[in-house]
Amino acid sequence: MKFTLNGQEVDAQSAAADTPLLYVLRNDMQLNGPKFGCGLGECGACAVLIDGKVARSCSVPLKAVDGKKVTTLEGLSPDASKAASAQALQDRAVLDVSAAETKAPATARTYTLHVVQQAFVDAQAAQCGYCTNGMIMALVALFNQQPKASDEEIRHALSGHLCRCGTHVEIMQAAARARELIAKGHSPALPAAGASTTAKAA
Amino acid sequence: MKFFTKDNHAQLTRRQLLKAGGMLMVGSVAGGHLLMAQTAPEAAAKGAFPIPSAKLVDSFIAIGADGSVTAYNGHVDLGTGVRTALGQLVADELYVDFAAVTMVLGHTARTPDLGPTIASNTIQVSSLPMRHAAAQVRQLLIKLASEKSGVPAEHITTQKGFVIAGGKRYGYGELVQGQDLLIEVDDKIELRKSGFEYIGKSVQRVDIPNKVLGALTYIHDLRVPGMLHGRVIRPPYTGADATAPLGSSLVSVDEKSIAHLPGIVKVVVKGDFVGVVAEREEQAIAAMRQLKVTWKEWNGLPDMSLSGLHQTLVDHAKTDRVLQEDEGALQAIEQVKTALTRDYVWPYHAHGSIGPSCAIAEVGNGQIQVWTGSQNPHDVCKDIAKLMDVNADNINVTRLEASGCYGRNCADDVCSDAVLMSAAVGKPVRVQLMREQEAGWEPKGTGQLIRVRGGLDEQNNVAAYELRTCYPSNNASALALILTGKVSAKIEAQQMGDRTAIPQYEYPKMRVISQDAVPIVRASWMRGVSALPNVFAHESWIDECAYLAKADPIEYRLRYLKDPRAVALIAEAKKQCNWQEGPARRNAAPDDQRLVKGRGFAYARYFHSKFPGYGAAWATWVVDVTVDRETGEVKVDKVFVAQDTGAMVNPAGVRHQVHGNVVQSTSRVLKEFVTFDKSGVTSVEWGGYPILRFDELPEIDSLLVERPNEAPMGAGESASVPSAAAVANAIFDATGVRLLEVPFTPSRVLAALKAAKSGAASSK
Repeated sequence: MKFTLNGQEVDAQSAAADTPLLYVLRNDMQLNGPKFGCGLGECGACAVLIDGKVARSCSVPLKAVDGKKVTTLEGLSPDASKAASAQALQDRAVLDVSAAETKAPATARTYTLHVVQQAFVDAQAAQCGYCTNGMIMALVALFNQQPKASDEEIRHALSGHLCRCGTHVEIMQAAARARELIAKGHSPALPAAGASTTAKAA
Repeated sequence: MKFFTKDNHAQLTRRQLLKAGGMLMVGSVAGGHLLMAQTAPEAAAKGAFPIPSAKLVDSFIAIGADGSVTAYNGHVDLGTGVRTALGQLVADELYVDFAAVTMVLGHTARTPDLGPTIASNTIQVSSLPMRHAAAQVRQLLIKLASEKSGVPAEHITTQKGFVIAGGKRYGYGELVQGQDLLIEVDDKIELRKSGFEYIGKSVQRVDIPNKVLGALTYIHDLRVPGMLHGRVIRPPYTGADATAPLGSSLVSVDEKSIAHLPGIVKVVVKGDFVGVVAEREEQAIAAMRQLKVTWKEWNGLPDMSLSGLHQTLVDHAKTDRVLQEDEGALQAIEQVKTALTRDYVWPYHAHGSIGPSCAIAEVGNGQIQVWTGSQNPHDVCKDIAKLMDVNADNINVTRLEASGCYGRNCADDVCSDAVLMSAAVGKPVRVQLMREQEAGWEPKGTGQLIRVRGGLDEQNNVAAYELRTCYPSNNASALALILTGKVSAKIEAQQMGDRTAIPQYEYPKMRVISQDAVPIVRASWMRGVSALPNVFAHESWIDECAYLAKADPIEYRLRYLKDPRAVALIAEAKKQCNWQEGPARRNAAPDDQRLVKGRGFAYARYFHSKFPGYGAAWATWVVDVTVDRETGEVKVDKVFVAQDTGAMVNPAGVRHQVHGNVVQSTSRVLKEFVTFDKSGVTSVEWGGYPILRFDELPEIDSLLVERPNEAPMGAGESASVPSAAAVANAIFDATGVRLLEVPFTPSRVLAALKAAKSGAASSK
């Protein structure tokens, strides 16, 4: 089953066609963004974009994305996600006595984040952060359709996304911040196809 | 709000992390701990993973050759931001850059056991040995520089990782070479008091960039080479406790029933523990769903419905434990002029972590590796030792972040599940629960019954107050221990119902009893533990007294409240919401008005831990509600919340906790209750257990009192504690109807409104 994942064509050969997309993304493609929350499409933690529309990957079979474009959290700021992932693996050498030795840390540099991700950092809009993926993906889809979405429209777009920590206030502030940055000219668009990606083909 | 537009990317590049072996600390990380294993009496065993002693400076602080600092704490970050706040404390105590500090949390082979991360204790209590150790390290650095330079210690200062002595600068890393820190923590050493660079500032959370970028953060994201996927099959008595035949309930497992499925590695059966291991995750799930398992029948739960819970809790066996009994209290209760006797009922609540619990285990070569999202990694270590009959120092439990838990969810359970399955297949196994398993088996926040007697004297002042509180809950043993028969399913009560059971009001005669009781279903602590229900009783009852006295509810409380911090906070809260003095119901709406508005107040300081315990932050709620008298729907329009946290290490972090508490407790109070049938929990997905959504979000005005010279207080739960009573008091102000049972669902409100109407009609 071939599809475009974060700008790169991938082939999930070892998964059956009816496998929920979520497991293919997490296990075959080794992505962390989409999370298993309920498996029933109720909570939104597994959200991804399929051809730019927000979808619940726990409830979408692999065959449904045949030939389509799937974007995950990692596909929004691919270089930054890649660097952060590499750094996180290195951190484990200190954080975890059981972690394998890793190479020396990468050299310092800064990255430009997707406007919605930047807004979440600016507003410090996460507690545990398990729902953050879904919140960000839903807002990316919304702002690509309606860059000036009102608070009411934002609440509506997020109302099917559950957060148990009660980060709603900060998430609304992040959404407002994203809207403000977009109004200043930062694009909410997805990176152009062919941009680098963190995905690994199975 | 303030946005931080600069240095937002700092975290990606901040750390100059040290590899364990290359660290010329004050002893290296590994070396120091190995040495300690030989010297510290409590770490005398010979396993590969001795637990660092909580008594040694070396266990808390390490300094690398480059001057970078690693600090160790047995507590974990549950998504509250304590990793960042603890780093701030260390940076200021040691006079180093925040960016130079790396926090290692909740890792049994690396961090001392400071108990589970509960009771909002991390900053208030569990940070202290680490801060003391940091202060000692700084003292040592000054001493070393003094010896080198000949400058007396009192003329030496420290700044940004350097000791400055007589115009010379010595880097910390240079000074510590060849030194060790195998000295005892001095809990009398004075901590730094002023001139902070980081404490009191809203330093950005170190974990958020990785969370928004999808970098490895969570236990759920960890992939161990060669890892297989496991799923469990639980007995059908979902979420039951020892009254169900747990440990002796399995009749048969038909392995042939999944013979047609691909990828199956093994069916693991041990006592009542049943698991399947497969090559791929979806294969394990398919096997879990299709494996034919036969269990004994059991349907022994009492009536746990919302309408039946009150009687069930009344009938449940209790053992009285006197917390306070003033002389003559019983007599005073009998002799009140106006009696006010009330039963308050709290429902079963789910912690409701968005991510079902996950763990990975690797068992082999006489060692057990466990990766967990537990709030109690050291307790997990003890559980696994018991489960596998090995010494705890052969077990290494590493904590990664997890979905927020707000108390004990299934995070500990899955560790044992993963260990059993890994031991059976000889490979690393990852287990994640399904939504229905997490929701069904998480030890619930227990239902609670609070019975109040007492009343007023002739001047309508409180004459006597008696509160008896029943909290049928315990710690909930790791499920696999019970299922495999390692721990007998003997049912035990736990003395945890006494949190904030004694009101802060100085009533003339008081009698407070904890009615300890065994769990009815699997239960353990949940945010606000028993304090939230107990305060629902305290603050609803005094509100009724104020109404009977035709007094302003706040003025009436202040007659009995003497704590100056509480009094000052309430004064701030009144200003915050522009409180209009006067008794409740003074602006009662006409009978035919459908939407009616009301305002309610409640106050509490959260007292927790083993009785008599101690206090965390003080909090007040003033809440504005709208009640729809046709549908019974209660809308929380606005919450004015005020909190005195003492010194705030990270004010933005405190505010975030306050907001989180307000949203979560509003959800609990308005909507939430676990449903049961005779065999167990039936609300096992979000449709059956709805929580507050974005379109129901109240407006929140949060006021954080600045007290930079006071000790920091726990901030993780306090702002939940006044919630239920404040909303109940607001509903009373709006409608004249008093609700004594949480949650305040539309059907309950409607029934209460109807009952009040027919009561009023029949009394006319």
